[in-house]
Amino acid sequence: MKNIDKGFVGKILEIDLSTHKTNIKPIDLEEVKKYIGGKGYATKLLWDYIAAKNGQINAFDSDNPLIFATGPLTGTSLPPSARACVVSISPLTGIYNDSHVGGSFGPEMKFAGYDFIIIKGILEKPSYIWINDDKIEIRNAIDLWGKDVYETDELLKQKHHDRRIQVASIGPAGENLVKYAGITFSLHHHAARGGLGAVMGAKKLKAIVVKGSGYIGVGDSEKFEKLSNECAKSIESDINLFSMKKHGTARGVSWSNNVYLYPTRNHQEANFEYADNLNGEKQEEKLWIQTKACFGCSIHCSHMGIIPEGPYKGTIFKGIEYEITDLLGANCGVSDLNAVAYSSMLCDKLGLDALSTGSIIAWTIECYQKGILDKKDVDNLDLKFGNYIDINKLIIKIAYRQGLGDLLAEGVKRVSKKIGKGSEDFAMHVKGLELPGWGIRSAPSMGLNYATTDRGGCHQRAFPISYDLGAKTPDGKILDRFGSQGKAKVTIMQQDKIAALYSLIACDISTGTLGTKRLIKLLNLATGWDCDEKEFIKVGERIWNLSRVINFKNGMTKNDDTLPKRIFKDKISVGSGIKVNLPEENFKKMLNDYYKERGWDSKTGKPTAKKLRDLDLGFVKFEKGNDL
Amino acid sequence: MSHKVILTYPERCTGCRRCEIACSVHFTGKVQPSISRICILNFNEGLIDIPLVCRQCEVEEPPCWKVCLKNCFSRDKNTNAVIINTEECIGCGECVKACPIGALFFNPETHKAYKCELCVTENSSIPPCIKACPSNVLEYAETPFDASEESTPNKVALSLIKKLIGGVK
Repeated sequence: MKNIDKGFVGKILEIDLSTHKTNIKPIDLEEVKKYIGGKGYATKLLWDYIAAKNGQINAFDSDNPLIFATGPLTGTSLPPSARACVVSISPLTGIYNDSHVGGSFGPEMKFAGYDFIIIKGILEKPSYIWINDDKIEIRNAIDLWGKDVYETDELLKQKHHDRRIQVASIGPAGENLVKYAGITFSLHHHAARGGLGAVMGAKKLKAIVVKGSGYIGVGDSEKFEKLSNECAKSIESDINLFSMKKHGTARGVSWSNNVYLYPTRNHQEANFEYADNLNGEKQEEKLWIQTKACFGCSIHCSHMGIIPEGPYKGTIFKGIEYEITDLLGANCGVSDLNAVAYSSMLCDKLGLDALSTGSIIAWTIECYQKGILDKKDVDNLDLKFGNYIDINKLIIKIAYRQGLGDLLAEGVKRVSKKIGKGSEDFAMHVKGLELPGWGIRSAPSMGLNYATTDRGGCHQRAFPISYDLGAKTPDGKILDRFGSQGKAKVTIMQQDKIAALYSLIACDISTGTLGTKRLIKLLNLATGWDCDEKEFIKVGERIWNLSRVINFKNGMTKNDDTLPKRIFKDKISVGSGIKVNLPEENFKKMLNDYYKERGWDSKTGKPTAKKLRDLDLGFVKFEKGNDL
Repeated sequence: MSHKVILTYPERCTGCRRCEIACSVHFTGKVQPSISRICILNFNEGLIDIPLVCRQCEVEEPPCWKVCLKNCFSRDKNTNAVIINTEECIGCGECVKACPIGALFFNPETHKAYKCELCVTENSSIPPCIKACPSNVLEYAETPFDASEESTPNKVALSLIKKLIGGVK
């Protein structure tokens, strides 16, 4: 099959691990167009694979497909074009999950000729997949099983006598089916959220190795290159990106802390007295020695360092991203930057989602302090906020499911339900996905976003915080920070737009600089389509509604569109002696506005038949006793 | 004696591979790193990225040249770059094996060897890979050093990691 030169390279690769059979089919551009590609089309593929089971499947089932997706802009000459994503049913939440990464794996998939790789089935013994253009092999990985992701990457490079292969692998956490194990791409890029590493572990698939000799061509290459060069110049000169280049996402730490958005000690507060210790400036000054970038990107927001002193001296680690400074830092009460760097490195190399890991450890510490768990329950660890020595011991226990770690490996929703005694009220998750590092009592629209996203508590599906903080909405309004008025509309607008952007696949760091209009233009130049902004947003809405249907089919109910009790009940200080919570009635008001605005049934929270038809999702089956 | 080459400063390299993209776009108009004449190799858990590119050895018969069965090698009149006459190349791969740093590559589709030949023309005095690098890792400048067993990417990475770890207070 020839390269189709449309941004897409043209092929979908299916691998059945049970039968060792592979199947290569051409992509149907007319069908893909309805979902753009990336997240969107992978969502449709997920639906197609599970439709035969009425859309319902268990994450560890042989038939649960693990879909590696790229978009029409992945691997092109556009500066940030590295993005790829993995879509599947999550073992942590039981619902839809898409997890995005940078690095070089996505582009390499396309160089090998594949826009999408779908993996189903279960291997008999631990193996890895070797994809070299048309050659696809399933190879023994007994010697790699048990290795961490850095060792795995290096051993595979040695085995193949090639340092230019791209590796996606799982660490011990994925092998041990920790429900929030991630998949690591190109060493330092983690599809971490939602536990898709455990899906790989359940399939006994240690790694996927890709090397491609092909190219990525676009429809109108002359105009595309011209616009892509213009984008590269914008990225080089945009003043907003200067601090991102210098300090990475951790540039936001002190700001977030100052406006009371920085969850602290299991969300008991939203301001950490030592936050400035953990910010990007401090990391740059004390730890970082190298700047790193994803494929083709001149932003280079990523950094590498070596811990210079203390018990972890000499450890190589990847710069601590904003979210991790919070979840393994402030939210666990740890103020020592070297210690947080080490915890972050541990999660990375063992293949754990650092966000979920930090969140569940913070919950465990609070349980222990409140006497809900006793010394024996916590394996005699000295658990208290800030005690990073024992926090790091616990991280290892979780990855290997040892002692208390075996329990915590199930995720905070399941564990708190099992432990009970009021611990569910401060189990900080939505639909089982532990919350990221943005407080929501001081930014209610973000709370609404967490409660309604496709994969559970996630900040990457919308970031409407700026509207809480006083930015003018697109229709010119200024919203009351702690109020509920007008919050649904801005949240929905962003959710739909981001779902479409994640189908290109665009990178969050650069979309502000490049702008949606230019990205749509690039999409059209690459594919030959004539998508306008309205259609683009509509595609986002289509994706959002389809994943919503998948979630209902997999047991989610309207009652799951909610927030942890702590958010409704417990107040946080927001300066000047003022304390706030997010009153449940305010939240419910936002949620009702949200359903109405989305055209969903306010009683059930489900997309109405009319809405689905309007979005060209008529193929979603309606059955008796299941009104979807 | 010294000659102009693409000099590299690996300690600044972010591994973004814009040089590879620019090189392949220059030759084919498409993004295709596998045919790039410069390539980025990473080491030490991703801490270090080493750009690998031909040193245009100044010695009369560079190692690649010496082993060629068909006498395909010569020097560019303007830049003095070591160039391959691909029409004569029979794809034996001996030159690829002979380069001490691995800066010659083999294209399995065309069955020919290829390497950096310093894309300097009347219109452009700087090769496109250098123009594309956002981090000043590459420089078109003179060096007295040829490729040697001491300048393989592995050894460059090893000495860089020693320097970096030594630099940690």
